[in-house]
Amino acid sequence: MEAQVPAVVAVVVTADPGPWFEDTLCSLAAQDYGELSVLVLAVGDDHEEVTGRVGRVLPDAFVRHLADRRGYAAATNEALGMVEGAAFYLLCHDDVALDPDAVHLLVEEAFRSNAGVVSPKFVNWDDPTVLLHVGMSCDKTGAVVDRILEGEVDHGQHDAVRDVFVAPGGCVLVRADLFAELGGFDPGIVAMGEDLDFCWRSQVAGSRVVVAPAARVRHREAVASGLEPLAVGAEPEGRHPVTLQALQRRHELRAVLKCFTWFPLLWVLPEAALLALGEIAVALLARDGERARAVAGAWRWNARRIGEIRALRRTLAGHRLLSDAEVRRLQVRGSARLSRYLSRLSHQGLDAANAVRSGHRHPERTENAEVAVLTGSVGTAFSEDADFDQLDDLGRRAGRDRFGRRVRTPVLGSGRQRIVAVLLALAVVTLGTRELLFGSLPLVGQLAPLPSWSATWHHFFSGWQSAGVGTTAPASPAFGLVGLTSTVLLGAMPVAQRILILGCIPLGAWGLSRFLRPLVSPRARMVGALCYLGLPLAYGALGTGRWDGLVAYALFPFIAARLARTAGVTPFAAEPGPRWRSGQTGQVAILGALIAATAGFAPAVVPIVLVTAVAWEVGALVVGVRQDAGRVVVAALKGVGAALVLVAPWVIGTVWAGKASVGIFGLPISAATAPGWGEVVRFAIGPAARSPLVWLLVVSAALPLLIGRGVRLVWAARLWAGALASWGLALVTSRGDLGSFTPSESVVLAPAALAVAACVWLGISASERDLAGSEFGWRQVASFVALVFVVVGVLPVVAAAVGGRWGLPSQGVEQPLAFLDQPSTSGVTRVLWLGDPRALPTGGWSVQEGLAYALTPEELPNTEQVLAPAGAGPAGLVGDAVRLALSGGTVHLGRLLAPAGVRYIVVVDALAPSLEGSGTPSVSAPPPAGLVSDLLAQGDLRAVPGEFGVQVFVNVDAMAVTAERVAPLPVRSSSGAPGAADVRGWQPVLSALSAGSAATGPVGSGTVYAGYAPSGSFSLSVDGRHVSGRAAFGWAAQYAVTKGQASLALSQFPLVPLAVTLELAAWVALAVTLVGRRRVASAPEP
Amino acid sequence: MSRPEHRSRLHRWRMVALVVAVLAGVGLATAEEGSAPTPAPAAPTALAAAPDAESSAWYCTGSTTASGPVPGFLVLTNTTPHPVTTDLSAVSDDGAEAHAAVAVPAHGVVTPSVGAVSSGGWEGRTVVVSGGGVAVSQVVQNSLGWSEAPCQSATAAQWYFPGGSTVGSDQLTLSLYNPTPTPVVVDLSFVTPTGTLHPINYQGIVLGPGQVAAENVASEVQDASTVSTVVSARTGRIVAAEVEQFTGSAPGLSLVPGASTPQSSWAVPMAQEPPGGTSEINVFNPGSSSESVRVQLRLPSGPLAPLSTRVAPGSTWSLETSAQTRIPKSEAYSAAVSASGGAGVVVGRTVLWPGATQGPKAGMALAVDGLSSTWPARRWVVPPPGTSGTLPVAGAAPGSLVLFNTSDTTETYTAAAPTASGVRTVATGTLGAGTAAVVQGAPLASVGLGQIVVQASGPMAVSEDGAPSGGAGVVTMPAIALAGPDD
Repeated sequence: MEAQVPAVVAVVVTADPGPWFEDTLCSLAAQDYGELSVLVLAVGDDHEEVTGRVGRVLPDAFVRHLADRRGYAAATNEALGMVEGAAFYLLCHDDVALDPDAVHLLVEEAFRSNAGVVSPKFVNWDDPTVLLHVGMSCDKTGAVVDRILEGEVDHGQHDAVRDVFVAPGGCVLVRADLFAELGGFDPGIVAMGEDLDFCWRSQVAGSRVVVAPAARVRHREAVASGLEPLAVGAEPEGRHPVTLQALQRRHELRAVLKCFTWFPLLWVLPEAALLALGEIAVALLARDGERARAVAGAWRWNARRIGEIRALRRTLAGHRLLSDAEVRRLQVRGSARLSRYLSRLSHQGLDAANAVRSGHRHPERTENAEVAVLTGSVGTAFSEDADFDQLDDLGRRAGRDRFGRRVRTPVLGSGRQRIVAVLLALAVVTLGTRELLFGSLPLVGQLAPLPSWSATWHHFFSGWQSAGVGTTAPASPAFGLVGLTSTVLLGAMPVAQRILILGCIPLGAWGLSRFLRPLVSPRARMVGALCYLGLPLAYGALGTGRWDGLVAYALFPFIAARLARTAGVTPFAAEPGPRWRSGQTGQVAILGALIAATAGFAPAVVPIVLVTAVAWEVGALVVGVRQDAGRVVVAALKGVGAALVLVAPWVIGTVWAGKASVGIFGLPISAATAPGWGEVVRFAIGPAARSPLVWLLVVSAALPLLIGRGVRLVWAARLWAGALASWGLALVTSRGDLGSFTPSESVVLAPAALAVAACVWLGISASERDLAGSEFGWRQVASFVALVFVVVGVLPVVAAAVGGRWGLPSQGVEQPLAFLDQPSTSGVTRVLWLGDPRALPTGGWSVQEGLAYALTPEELPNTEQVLAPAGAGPAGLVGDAVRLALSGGTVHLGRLLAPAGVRYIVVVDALAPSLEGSGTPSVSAPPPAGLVSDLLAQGDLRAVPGEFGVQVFVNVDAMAVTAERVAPLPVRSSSGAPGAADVRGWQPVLSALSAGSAATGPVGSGTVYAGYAPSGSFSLSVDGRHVSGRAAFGWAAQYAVTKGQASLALSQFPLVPLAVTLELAAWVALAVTLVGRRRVASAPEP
Repeated sequence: MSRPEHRSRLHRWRMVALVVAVLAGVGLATAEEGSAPTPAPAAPTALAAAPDAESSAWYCTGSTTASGPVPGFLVLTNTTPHPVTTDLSAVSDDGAEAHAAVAVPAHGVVTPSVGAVSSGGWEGRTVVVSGGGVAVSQVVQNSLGWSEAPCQSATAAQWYFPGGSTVGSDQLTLSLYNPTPTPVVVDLSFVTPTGTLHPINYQGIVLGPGQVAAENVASEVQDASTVSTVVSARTGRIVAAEVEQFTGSAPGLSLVPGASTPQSSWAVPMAQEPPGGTSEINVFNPGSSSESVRVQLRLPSGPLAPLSTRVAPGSTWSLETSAQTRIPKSEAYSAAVSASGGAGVVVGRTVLWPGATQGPKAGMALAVDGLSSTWPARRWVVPPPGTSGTLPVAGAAPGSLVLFNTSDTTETYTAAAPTASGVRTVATGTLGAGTAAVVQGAPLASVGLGQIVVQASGPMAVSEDGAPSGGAGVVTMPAIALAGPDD
């Protein structure tokens, strides 16, 4: 009696099949299952050829031609209307070959396990001993994860039947009633992910999904490997072609949105979004735009189809038998994609990790295969990776070398160790910065809060700044970068500030690891990066609130690397790319862009680049290299020239300030409190990590000079010459020996820090390479001692990390001066800040060595005031008045300041106020002795008692910036200093003027005074009628008005906004050119 | 010996040498340099601002209203060749105020009347000059005598007075004036031969803006022959002056401005031991460390053996010069006081001429401080004791002008009397190191009640004795330093 078996219909969807199609058909024909019918669904135009090919192999098969080029899912669903009486569908691609017993084993297991979906074991088409899939799983975000390792050899180790979450597409047995009940595949999924979606819905409907490894199927994966084109039906390609990765990501998200109930979605979706943001960031850093677009596009694509998804959710809800928790049992915990990334990062390094472009199994395998081949390739036989001998042909570690000996990994020799070292270093930095990560930063140095998002952009484009008493100089280009960052962060200014300040530290280390990459081993690069992190410079800059120093620390390594590439000095060469980018013009443009971006925050970097270039030339000449002499200087000049062009409006505005323009680099500090030579050389410029142990790091940097050879010696000479120049410049400028050129030492020392870290780096590399094969001698001893010095030398920074804030005071002047943020009852007034340039929490201008002044609106300063223009403009009269008071030439400083609207004078004598005996005092930066006495000697300045850490004076003769009185100013007051009668009787009127809004308010009949400069750029109207003004005190204006509603507004040709817009356009054009060309360059050759 | 692979055409040792040379060389070159913060530049408490100043101010205290015990007036001396306007304000210790605008002609001297302050006793006066080049002094008088002294051109947180007496019925009064807009809290302490006193009633004296207070020292420090005083402001800055009324057998009246900073060198340009009387030099060490003090005396015929001692912190050395046998009686001499080892000392001189036949017989004055005598402009002005219409006593006039070369080299000098019609030279010559020149008689009388401007090539201590008085040192007016445009 013949046993009755359920009917199985094999549904094979094919589109322009390759030569392997016959193998697929033959394997179906060879099945030992009696009740197997074959339905071929031919998609595409050449159905006659398909019919013929099927007929030759499977004459009993049904062939149905589908005219439109629909996707696999939609095509398969056609079987629902064409087949009757089938118990199971065997849904197949056209590139699979089943073992003869596969179908009956699958059916058998379907009954045995009572499963709705049964998956076979997939093996490699060409090498059936290599596994492809034995069922799959996914995490809650839909990221599919394989159960096996890449390239894993089939030893039967996965041959147990078990529940899985995903039965991979290609060949799967599905109960026909289940398929019909669920409506088949989701037709909205054109390719990639239909298997995940269907299996998820099957389980929601109460069905089991199992893998039956006894049934074996070879799979060519023709689409994933590029052998067959991707058929995406009516999918519009847009500017970027649709990739498998993009399809996979959007369909994963679609499955998540469909299959979870609402409650789990509340936490799954934010988590998925967060992961997506992180992945985009990593992809952008790795310049993997394709992946970034895929991830971002997935959310956009699903957002556009939210209505459709809502309908599908309702349909699925009708079939739901199992809860989300029960379905989730077979999903992996955590994030599969993140786990895979970190695993790859630890095992194969950053480049390999970033090479994972997709979470999908197919493209991933392609790339993984590349990675695996690389690790065992001929190329890596010459790799500097010290753990090469531990890798097998697939790049896996066996722990023994090729001779079976146990491999002893040198310190930082393996990728895993380097990852651990990076994590440790980041942990130390994070530990040291922990108290700065949240809350508000103290108002110290240049750490003033950022203005709002809109105010930042407005300030960048505005043709008027409130600095001093007002100026039409263009704002620093740094505001463009701040605005860009805050825009990306959706206006989260505190977060943007932290990223732009604290992010400088890891960015600098990363930059250093890229610098000299052509020269040294990964191990040496790691040591160099750790040394750069271990130097106190960045923490000194942070502890003293020097944003410019941090930016210079972060970006100077990039500048140095690009300078070397642009100059083409050995072994640097332009990165491969299109001619424009790798050519001289492109290199100069990139170098210029880097210099310009840095100069926005730290203008002194411009001359420092030139000094460094000259020093590099000198260093090379000293060791006898005359080849290519002058190229670095020429490259630096070109780069600086390009930078100046890129920020031309700002440069012109700065140069316009005349002699004062040199102040943009920094203001002269007191020579008495300037750092000494020892402090400069060991980077002890801040309150933290001032230990003499740092000398050891500097000493260890001499190693490459002693043992290096060839290009390493030449570069060590260049770097040491740069360091000497940097240290010398820091010493002489801080002592005022170069006149008005007095940049902050935290900026000037950036090349020295780069040199010390890089020379440590070169020393390690030299000991690896130049001592190989040498007999034991002093060089080996020196190498060992240098290594010990490096380890000990970074200890001060590690110890300083315990404090949690690198010595940055917990509170700045915002506490004693909190009253400045209170609503003023005296109208619109200003604050005059006096103190050492290091202590002022705002930008300013110099009065004399060690004393600077700044004028701010009557509020606590923000970054707009920190990045002040070079010239004070008419506010220079304030500086003159202060000088006069210091020389004993007046007892009416308050009166002299009155036209500028100065109500308060704040004298700061330290980086932050500190009460005697209340903990660690802040960095002392006292103003010149006698300043307070001279202010106390003024008959119109009243000292405010009760403030600590700062000395506040109230101007008894103060008048508001906008004020009115009946009598006009006499003619003699149209220029020159005010008399007593000139400042009396004024009543405040009008609201505050900002770059974006007019000053308005009611006025009476009389004279309105407006202390804004330049007066010619403003117009006053009363009740809509223009009022002509005349000069007051040489720079302000007075208007004869009648009673009414007045409005004082900026009224000038928008020259600056136009120029800044052009500047921005130039940046965008440059960025588009560079990125666009790069993308084209990275496309595969046809 | 290096291995062959370490030999190359690259000159590594050049670079090593350069690095070592630069690091060590710069380190050694900068090791010797100190980095001590520059102290605040000190200035004399009486300094006429430079002529090109935008404004300057003088603060005067130590006199009373006309109805008080020590009435006085101001003397405004314009050293510039152009007229200057001034704003005068006066306030009494009960808050009554008066204001006046006064013009001072070129090279002129005026004794303005501020206007009667309606009530109160002790006064404080502020003179705000629209420019510089004006010196302000004040003259007081009562039945005991008269005295003149410079006003103060700057406020300070500390004021020191080396001498004073509360013996018998002698009255010592401290006049405190806060001319600033900032409230001030003041403590007073006194150093007497029996110790230092901090009277509870004189601690935490609050002076509001523009407020004056007078404290009778004798009520707290009784029967002390030498009272050195420290006025210390906890907050803000004030001016202070001391008024001594000698009521004994040698009556007299002295107005003594305070010294705001201890100094290492002081000078008494001319002294003379009173026959039958007493005189002493008071050297007050207000600092926290001992001072080695040396008093170098010089007769016209040559120097005497110096007197020296060690002055403990917070104590006063009263050098009774009248008891020194090495100093011949009735012979004029100069004294230079130098201190070392600490922050400096404050020096004054007290003299009693009981047998004098005219004028006050007792007087007390600060010595000429080193800051004034070494002020870089090398110009000083000696204001007259009044104008023809306003004199403290009938016939008051300059008695003698003394120029004392405090430097170690020979210096030239010129004393001239600028007037609206021209400059008349009073005296000119050279002075050897440590020597003094006295101008009196006809040359001085020819100046009358005009100002005298002294210009020298080097440091010079200049003072003038006023007449009528009992003798040298009873009514002494130190010259006021003039700031130059380049100071």
